[in-house]
Amino acid sequence: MSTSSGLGCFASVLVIALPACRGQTRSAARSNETAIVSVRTPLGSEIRLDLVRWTPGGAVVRAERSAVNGVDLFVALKDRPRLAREGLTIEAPGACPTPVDLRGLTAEASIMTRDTIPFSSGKRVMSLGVYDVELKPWIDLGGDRAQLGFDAPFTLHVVPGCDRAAAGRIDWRQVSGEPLPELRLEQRGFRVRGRTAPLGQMRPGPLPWGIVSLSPRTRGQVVLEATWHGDGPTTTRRVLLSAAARTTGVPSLPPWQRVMLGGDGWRVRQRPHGGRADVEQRDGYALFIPDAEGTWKLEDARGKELRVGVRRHDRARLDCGRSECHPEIATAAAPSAMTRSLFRILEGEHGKDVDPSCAVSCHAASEPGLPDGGLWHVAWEDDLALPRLPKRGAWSSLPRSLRRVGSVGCTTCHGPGHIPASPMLWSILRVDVCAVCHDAPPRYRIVEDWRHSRMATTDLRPGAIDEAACGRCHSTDGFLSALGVLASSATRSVPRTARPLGIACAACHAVHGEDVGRSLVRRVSLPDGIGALPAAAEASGICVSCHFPDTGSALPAASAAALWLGRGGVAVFDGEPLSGRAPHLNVEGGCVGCHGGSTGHQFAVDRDRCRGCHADGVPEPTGSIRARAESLWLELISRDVVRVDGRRDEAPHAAARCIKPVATPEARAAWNVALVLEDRAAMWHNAEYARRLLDQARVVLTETR
Amino acid sequence: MRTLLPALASLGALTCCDAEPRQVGVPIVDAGGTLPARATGDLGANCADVGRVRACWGADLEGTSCRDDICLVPRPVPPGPTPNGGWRCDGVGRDRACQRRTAAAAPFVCNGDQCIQRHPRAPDDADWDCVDRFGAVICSTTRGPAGTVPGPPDPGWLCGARRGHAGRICLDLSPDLPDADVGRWDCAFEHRTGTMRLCTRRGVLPTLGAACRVPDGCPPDARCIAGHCLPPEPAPSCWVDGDCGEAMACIFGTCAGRAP
Repeated sequence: MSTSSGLGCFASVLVIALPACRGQTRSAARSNETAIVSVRTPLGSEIRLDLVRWTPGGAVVRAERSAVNGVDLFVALKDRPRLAREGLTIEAPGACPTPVDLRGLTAEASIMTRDTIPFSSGKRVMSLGVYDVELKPWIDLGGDRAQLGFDAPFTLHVVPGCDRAAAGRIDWRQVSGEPLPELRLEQRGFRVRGRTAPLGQMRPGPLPWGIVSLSPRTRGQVVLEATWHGDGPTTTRRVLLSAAARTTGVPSLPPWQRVMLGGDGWRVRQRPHGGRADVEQRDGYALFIPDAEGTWKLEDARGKELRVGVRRHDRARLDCGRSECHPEIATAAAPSAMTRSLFRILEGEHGKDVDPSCAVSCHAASEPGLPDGGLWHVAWEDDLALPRLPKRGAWSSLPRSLRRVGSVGCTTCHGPGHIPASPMLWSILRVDVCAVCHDAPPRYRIVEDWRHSRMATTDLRPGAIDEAACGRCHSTDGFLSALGVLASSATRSVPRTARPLGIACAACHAVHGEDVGRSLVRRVSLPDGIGALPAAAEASGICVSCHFPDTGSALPAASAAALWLGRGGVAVFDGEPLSGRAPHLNVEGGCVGCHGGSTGHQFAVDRDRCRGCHADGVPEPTGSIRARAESLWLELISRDVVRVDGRRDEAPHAAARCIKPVATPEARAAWNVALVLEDRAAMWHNAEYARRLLDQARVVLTETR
Repeated sequence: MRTLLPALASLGALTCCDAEPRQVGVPIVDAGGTLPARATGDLGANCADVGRVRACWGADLEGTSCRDDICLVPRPVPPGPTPNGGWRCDGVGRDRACQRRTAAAAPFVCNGDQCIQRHPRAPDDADWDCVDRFGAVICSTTRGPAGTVPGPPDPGWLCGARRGHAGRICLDLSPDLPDADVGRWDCAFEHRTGTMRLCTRRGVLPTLGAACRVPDGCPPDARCIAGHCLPPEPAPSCWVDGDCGEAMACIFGTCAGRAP
């Protein structure tokens, strides 16, 4: 190297090394020119603004995360020629490099004198404007599609953010949902054509009258994954496609949600101001898309009316807790896990690695892709974004408009429109309301499991709801009325054609009432004579309230909890309560300690749970206890102690009645035998107590022979 | 020197002669949404932004910019460029701080001289009934929101209990506007289909905070002080005149006698 070039490098070392070594711009005795570059990303783009980078290095003297919207880069413009030549380029993972042209700076500037300036030791700051920059995603799939239609063609156009992205190719695969009937790739994967599943495949069987409920499982929901390959980092994005938006079935909707109507001959009888929509007839159902807020009146071919209240979520008033309305409910719901569902995620209570954007559809009032005034839509309208990562204080930093729709609050379940008219008040009791979030297998199987349980059809049995005493444990509305949760069963009278409702979610779970502090399980008073349940089984109180007999009746109507507790029987001669050992009382979790686990809300026994105590295996049923009980029952029948009016294979409480006076040994014997017969699992719940009850009955029958 | 120069040259080759300056690592910090803007010109503790100016109230306040116990004082904002939508400030004296207006309220969407703000600012997360009155926003509510976790109150409001009724009254003397041209916007809340705020650009209107050249260029009950329309001392407690009792009127949410 020649001396001259060495001197030149020597000089450049001296000039450039100083700032690089200090790591910051030179403080200036003269004015510092700055600009703010506000960097934003499209909603749902997954661009990592927390990893934003910029060139040339040194141009940015301060980077500040604005409350919700993105990142502000405070750019020092002292190196004007270079910035004029190169501009400022901003990059972030998932985005195309975006140049910002700062050459168009005007001489019009506001010169302010400040005593403290966060990024400069100079005293004069020349402000030269705020530049808004939106980073383009490397590939943009266009966001989730909420209402493609059943058995409908769709086309996805992938928009590359820059030329380098456009030169690549995209591979696609379906990662969840029922396999799509067809999926064709075109233009190196930048265009995808497919067809959604038909309605009959997703929701087989006859459609209920009125608004057809749809859950993630039945709405024809699939997730497609796109993987970009080319000159650049491999980029993967996902998009959720649905044939229809989720619907609770409650006639209270946001505008522009397409719903299906079960029944025939639907038409719009009355529209609100500005409404123009009509019902569109299809094969076996009708489609309706309300295009204005207000009350819509629809009627079917027989003139039966359906009133539908329509309003955006963000325009629904949240004054449900007014003193003349529901103050107690509002107060009780305030600390609920549902009210705090998104709050807890944003504040990091579920861990630091949970992405809040995943929670939009089920932790808030929101259907992504639908202009419903919910969380997603408000954020899109107002150009907002959820914090990328949870942290303390994140909830407070949200704008008011997002907080008001950022929970599973009143409008999420009851709908944003008005409260349904009286004939449809019962619709809120259906499992369909909860299914919009809790029926999303494979991850959320609660509703699907429940539908396979006997709880789902308890009100279908003949005579099951004919009387209040029966309806109390055979129907959700009856149960809640008996508890006093519903003012009167009549106000939510469920049409027979709408059944079965079964014992649905609202029976066992107090979504805005007093719960036991776990899974919103309802807190109830226990029947007399039981006392308190052990702490491990506290949540079983809800089960005991129906599965323990009413001691005031002649025959027990349920007994599984009685056997489990070793209570409920009577000494046949003196009528004193008969108690016994309860070997399964302290199983962790109580009833669901055995009737849960891998079976979830099917409430079937999970035999793996038994091995914790029964390491040698659970005794196989010999049938002796049941056979003995049936034999005794036949003998009671033959002696005219009980009379069977119904089918003999039905449970005693449904088919038989006791003829003898209650306070007689024979009647007590019938009670004890029925207690065993009512519980088909008596042998496992408490074999010893079951035998004791039958022994008592045998003594009576022997002595009175 | 012969050995030194090549060594320096090598150093230069490593650091400068061919390389881009490496990016200076500036970590992204969270400003917490607010920036300090100390109001060293405040006179006492009873001060607030009015439009895009600032006023202080108090008995016996004196100064060339004072009259009738109302003073016009400087309104500082954080250094640097003004963000879109302007600054929303709260606090008095050294405790004063500002945040971007769009951090807590939606931007205006304009079509010519008509602008809509879909989710207008409100004192907190409750349902509020609000009205625009000569450049001030007055809001009333009775109860907090149901079914959601309330966030912190919005800064910059002056609030008080409503006289004779359950509930609160809040007053915003520096409401959001489509631009900084105080005095040319006629705004109103639209409650029919849900709360939105509609602003229409008109000619010069009597508006709090706007410039005034003659005394009657100000809204009723406001005063032209140091060239700007300023309201009487705010103490929000009323929604209608009937809340105040005999011989008093509800003026910008405050019970007071009418100005002569």
